[in-house]
Amino acid sequence: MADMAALHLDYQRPPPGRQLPGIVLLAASLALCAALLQQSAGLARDTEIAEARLAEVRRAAAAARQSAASPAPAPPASASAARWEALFVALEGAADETVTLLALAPGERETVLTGEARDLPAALDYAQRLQAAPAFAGAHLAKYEVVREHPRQPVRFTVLAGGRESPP
Amino acid sequence: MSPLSRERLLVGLAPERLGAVRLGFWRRRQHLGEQALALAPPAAGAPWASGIETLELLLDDPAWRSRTLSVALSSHYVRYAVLPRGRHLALPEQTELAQVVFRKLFGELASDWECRISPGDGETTVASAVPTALLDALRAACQGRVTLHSVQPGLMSIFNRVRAGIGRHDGTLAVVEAGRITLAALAAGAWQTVTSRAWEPEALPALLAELGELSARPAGGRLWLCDLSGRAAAPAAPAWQVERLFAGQRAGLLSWGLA
Repeated sequence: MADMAALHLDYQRPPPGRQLPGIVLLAASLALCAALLQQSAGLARDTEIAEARLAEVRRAAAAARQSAASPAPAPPASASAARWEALFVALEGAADETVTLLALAPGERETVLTGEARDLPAALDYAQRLQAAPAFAGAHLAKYEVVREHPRQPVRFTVLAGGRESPP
Repeated sequence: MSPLSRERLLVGLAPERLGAVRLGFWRRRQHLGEQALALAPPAAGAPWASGIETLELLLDDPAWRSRTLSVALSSHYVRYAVLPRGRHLALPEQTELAQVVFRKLFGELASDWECRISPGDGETTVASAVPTALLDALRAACQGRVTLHSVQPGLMSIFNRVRAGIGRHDGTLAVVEAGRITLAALAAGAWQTVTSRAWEPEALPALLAELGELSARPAGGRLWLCDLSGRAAAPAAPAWQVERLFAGQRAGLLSWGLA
């Protein structure tokens, strides 16, 4: 047979049963804090990656502009500028939110574009859109790989374009 | 004192005496000291004024500095009532009910008392009332000195310490202190009555007889006797089977069962 229940007439501490909601609330708050900290660490990591990619794009754009601005040996300056203009217009026309251009390396015979797409279909669509522009005639997806270390696993790709309207 | 210290001070507060026991907890419970401080009756003011003043001096004594303080209050400072347990009432409503009962029993005096009702599992339960001014004085005395961990009626600390030995036997728990006797009648694992009278310890047999007559119960049975005064007269055997609580345990008596 069980003993009589303990008396609880304390003037400083709540009865044992009334401590439980406080303990549960504390545990829930700690769990929420841990989840928020984890999420915040993930966001910081994403921000770092995005900033690094942005810097790469800026560097690529600056390099492209610099080479466009430098005096070209062969064609006259006005013709060169017009070609670059056509190139940028074509790039802008093909761009959308699924693709980020990382580098643009114009060569004598062909132009090499490096970028990152949300997934492989997005990369293929991009190559197709470029193909439609005269400045990138013959553009095709030459290489791609999935970036597995990134949480969203984007596709890094290389497009080769060459032919009639190759850059200066 | 280190914030990691787990030293506890246990105090039994009565009008004529403050009993203190200091415990440490390093791997196991350690008894670090005990003392009984006689209190002079206050010339004026609250009846607990001397006790609070002495407690403040004790808390300021580096040798008695502790992390937490638990206080058991003499029945001189506490009123008790046995109430049927309100099964369909939440604890705040039951406490409100206890407040009403105390007002009915003690009139305007009870308006400044703080009530508690024990959330038991039996048919009846015990409610207590303590003057708010005493609780405020205790909390103020601890401010900046020690964490006040617990303030409880002495009947609670004593009953909780010995309830395993009481089991569900019928009988009477007697808490005898200088100038006051508190009797709790228990039957079939339920609280029947709690009576507290300003009688001297020697009058215990007479009070037991009187309460027996008033309740029309035959005198006798088990008596769990907690004699804090050292002067209690035991009722005559064989009608009464007396079991002395905390016999030879000075720390248990000084702290009203807290130690």
